[in-house]
Formats: sequence, C-alpha cells, structure tokens
Amino acid sequence: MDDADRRDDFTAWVRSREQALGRLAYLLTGDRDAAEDLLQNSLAKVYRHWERVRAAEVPDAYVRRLMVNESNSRWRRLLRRPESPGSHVLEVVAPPAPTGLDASETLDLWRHVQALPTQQRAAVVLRYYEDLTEAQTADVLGCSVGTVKSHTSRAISALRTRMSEVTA
Amino acid sequence: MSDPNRTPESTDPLFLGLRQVLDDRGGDVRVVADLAERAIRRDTQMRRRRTAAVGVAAALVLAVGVPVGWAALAPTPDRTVPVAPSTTMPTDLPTPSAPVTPPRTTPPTPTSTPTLTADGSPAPATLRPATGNPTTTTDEPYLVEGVIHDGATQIALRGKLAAGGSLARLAGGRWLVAQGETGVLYVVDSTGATKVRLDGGRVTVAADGTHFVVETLGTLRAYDASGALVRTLRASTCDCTPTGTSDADTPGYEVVGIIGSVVHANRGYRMDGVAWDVSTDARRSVGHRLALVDAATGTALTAQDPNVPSARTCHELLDLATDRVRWRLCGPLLFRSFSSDGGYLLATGQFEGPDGSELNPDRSFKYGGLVVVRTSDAAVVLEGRGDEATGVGSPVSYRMGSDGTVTVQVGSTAGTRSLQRCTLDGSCEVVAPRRPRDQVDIPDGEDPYFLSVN
Repeated sequence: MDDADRRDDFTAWVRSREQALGRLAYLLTGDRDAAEDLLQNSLAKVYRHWERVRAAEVPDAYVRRLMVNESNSRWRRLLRRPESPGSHVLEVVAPPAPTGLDASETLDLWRHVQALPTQQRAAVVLRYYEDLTEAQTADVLGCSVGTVKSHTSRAISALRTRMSEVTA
Repeated sequence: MSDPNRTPESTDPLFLGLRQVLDDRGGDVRVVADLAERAIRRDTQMRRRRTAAVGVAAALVLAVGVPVGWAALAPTPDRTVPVAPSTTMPTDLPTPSAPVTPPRTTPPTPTSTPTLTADGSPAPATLRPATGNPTTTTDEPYLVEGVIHDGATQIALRGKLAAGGSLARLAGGRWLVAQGETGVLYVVDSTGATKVRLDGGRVTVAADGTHFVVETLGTLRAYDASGALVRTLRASTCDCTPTGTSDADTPGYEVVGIIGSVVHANRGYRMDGVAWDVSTDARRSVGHRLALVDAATGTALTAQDPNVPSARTCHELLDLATDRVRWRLCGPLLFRSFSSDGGYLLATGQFEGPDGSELNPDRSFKYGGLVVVRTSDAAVVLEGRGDEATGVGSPVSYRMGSDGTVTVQVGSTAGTRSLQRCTLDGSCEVVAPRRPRDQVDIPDGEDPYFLSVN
C-alpha cells in the first residue's frame, strides 16, 4: 500500500467511525478539550500502525483499547495541546430534555459518572454505552473479567450511594 | 435483605438512568472537523518532535507513550519503526560489552534541601512582545524557510529540505538539520550542502556540537560532528524491561543530554540512569532519573517518577559531581532547557499536572508558555503568556544565550509567529517578522521558525 492509498484507506475508515469515536472519547473524559486531544492522539497512533491495525481486521476493538489506555495514562494528561477557539474537532450541543430522570437527576448522575476513577468510568462506559460484554470489556481494559465485575460493581455502588445522598 | 446491586438491570432505575445519561451525553457530541487529516498531521508532528533535538523529549515520550501492557498489540509510537542503516553511513562499529561501574558508594552529605513552590503567583517581570519591523538581531541561530540564520551569516539549505524541522549546531561549521522528510536527519556543511543523511529517531546534541546521539527503539548511536558513527549502546544492555514484558519490548535507553563525551540517559521506566562515555565506552550508573543536564555547570534537573502517581510535580536541581541536591521546586512547570551558561531554566507552564491537578479552578493554566527560573535560587523571574485582548499569543519556543536575553518565537491569536529577543525585564525587540504557520487554525500546524537547540 503506497502512502496515498494508506491515507485514503485510513481516511475512509475514520469517516465511517468518527461520530462513534468522538462520543466514546467524550464519555471517557467528560470534557471537550480532553476528548479532542484523546481522539487525535489515539487516531494519530492508529495511523502510524495502520497496516497492522488493518491486518488485525478489528480496527474498532484496537482503537477502543488504545483510547481507553490513553485516557487512563496520567502521562498523556500532563501535556495537552488545547485547540484554538476556531479549531475544535468536537461540537457538544445542549443535551436534550430528559425522558426518564428529571433534569437535575440527569445532571447529578452525569457528574457522578465523571467523578468515578478512570478505570471504573471506562468500565461503565464500555458496558452501558458501548454495550460490550464483560469479556469484551476485559479485553479492552486489559484486565480479567473478575476485575471488570469489580470495577463495575464498585462504580454502580458509588453512583447509587451518591444519588441516594442527592435525593435525601 | 437483598443486595440492591442485584436488581435486574432491565428494571433497576439506576441502570436505566445511567444508560439514558450516557446515550444523551454521547448523542450531544458531533465531530465537526476533518478528523482523519488532523490525526495524520498529529502523527507527523509527533514523529518530528521525536526527531527534533529538544530537551523536553523525555517528558513528551512519557506523555504520549502507550502503557507498557499495551505493547504486545500496539508497539509504542516511540519505538515502532525499525531503522535500517543508511547507505550513506558507515556500518556500526563492534561494541564491546563494557561493564557498568557501580555508582559512588559515598553517600552525599545529608543537608536540608530547600523546597520551593511555583504557585502561579505573578512573576517579577512579564514578557512584552514588540510589534512592527525587525529592530535587532540574535546570536541564537535559527532556521526559517530553508535558510539558517547564524548572526550575520545566512546559509541556504540545498536539496529536499522544505517545511518543518529542527536545527542544531555541530562542530566544524556543520549543522544537523531535520527538515522535510519525517524521521530523517541531515548533516550539512557550512555551505548548506548535505553531507550525510541519517534515518533515526530522537536526536540529542552536545552543547559544544562535537557529538550527537540518535535514539532508536531504545538503542543509542553516537556520532561525531561529521556524522560518522562513533559507538553504539544497544537497548538489550539496558536491563530495564518491566516485569511481565518480553525482552523484545524493552524500552531501552532514553537520552537526556550530553556533557562533553558523556551521554546521560535514563533506563526505561526505572528511576536511575547511565552515564556513557562515547570516547571510551565506559558506563557508570547514575542514581537519578533525569530530565535535563547542563554542560556549563555540570548540573541536572531530576525527573518525576513516571511510575508513581503524584498530585504534585516536583523537580530537583542536582550537582552531578557531588550528587548534592541544591533545591527542589514543585509546581506546574515542564522544563525544556537550560540557558547556555546554566544560569536559568526555561519551562512551559501550559501544563496540567496529573488529573488536571495543577490547573486553576477555572481549568486555566497557572503559567503561560514561557517561564524563566533562576537556577541559583529557583525563583521565577519572567513569565510570558498570551493575551487575547492585545492579540499577542503565547511563546511557543525559546532559547536563552549567555548574554541574559531570551530569543522567543511568539505567537499571535491570528496564527502567525514572530521571532523576538527579550531581556529578563520583559522588554522585547523584533528579530524576524511575523510569518504564518502552515496551518494557522489548528495546534498541529508547523511553526515557521526553528531555533537551534544548542
């Protein structure tokens, strides 16, 4: 694959997946600037290894794992390249009116999700947004199924406790 | 009593609410830029930064590196591309396995180390960039649009040397240039003609330009100023492979700096390093992980332990000869270089710290893009940051000579860059006019000016 073909192939794949990846980045970080940086760093690494990623025939799983690892890396967070006001990659529109919870509960729950430790937050996002199985989540997080269960259970317990404190 | 966590997920209000919140918040997000193009540009810039001989390289490697456990599936970008020997280069010399001399056994005399905090308080002086046409010159060499400016001398590079790059002065009137093709270095002579082409990774150049070291996949290759290979230190000798990682994934050595013929390098993720004399091949252990070394004063700045999460970012100034720590400074500063005479340290303050803990409550940076710290007492003496009201952008690159002035590439909110020479009281004069970045509206655009790193 020559360089032009490589770029075209990568670009076509990104365009087919960019909205989903943008959402995952935002849910993992809870912050537009951080999500933009995470997304671009992760995809830059994917592009670097594009032949390998393509050969693996599971680019989505590869990228998901890369993004979670990047998100968890404290070193990545040390240096961030902020976008200039006119150069944002992501747009975060106002959330729609909630259909089940009331607005304040929705906001509280979202804040509590963001406050979870990174591994727990990643487990919750992968299990309940990406709808991955425990085994798939374990693969992405690079841990055992038991650890996924533990992360998820602790996260849910924490969310339940915090939400009960709010309503009380 | 039943465990509330065992409530079926399909009916538990918390799970239902959680799915709804995630769906709603995820649904709020749209990609509104050409993400593929931006990722390709960032990959190119990340590779260039590794090739560029910048003091901050070690920190950047850690900042963007993939955690070790991921290495089996995705080798880190820092050590991905095996480098074939260039056909224009001599072959590797045999490298006898020199034993590592243990560190000095005499412990340093216990003394109290002054610990200071950089808390974002206003510096005594603030950078005041000038506008208009050039009114001064700089002794710091720089490269712009394929021309090296060295005082009154201008050297036009020949051949395929175009956008992007880095510049370092080598002994004998030569220059080391990375420009154009990513991951490729050129030794050029005093007329600008390319003499040697090297494929390689990150490069570190001695302050006197007599040697430079190319780090590729954790293996170090030392070259003299003519571009001839002097010696090799292979990653396999590092003994720094993390537990549970195969030898093939050893992080190897990470060059920090060069003092004379001695290369200082960290050992993978360990908290110690090695001093490797390329003239004799002797190696000596260094009991610290380092961030920068200064040839002029024989001091070094220690690096933060990458293995231990810490809410604070702290560095120590270390006397390499005595192992004595002169001071410890904590705060959101990422140090990039010493001044030529070692009297000052230059840092960027656009630094989050772990988990954003070093940011102001409104998530703004505590310092701007340039912070000058005096090495004698760790005092912040000058700060430069952008100001949207005046259209002045943040300093993006800088170099401080021994004359007490800092040559700064200053941004503007319009995306242009100018080169200015500034004194420590903050006053500046224009050295070279505003030029646009190649992409004015994104952070990964290439800056037009490349200051020499030595």
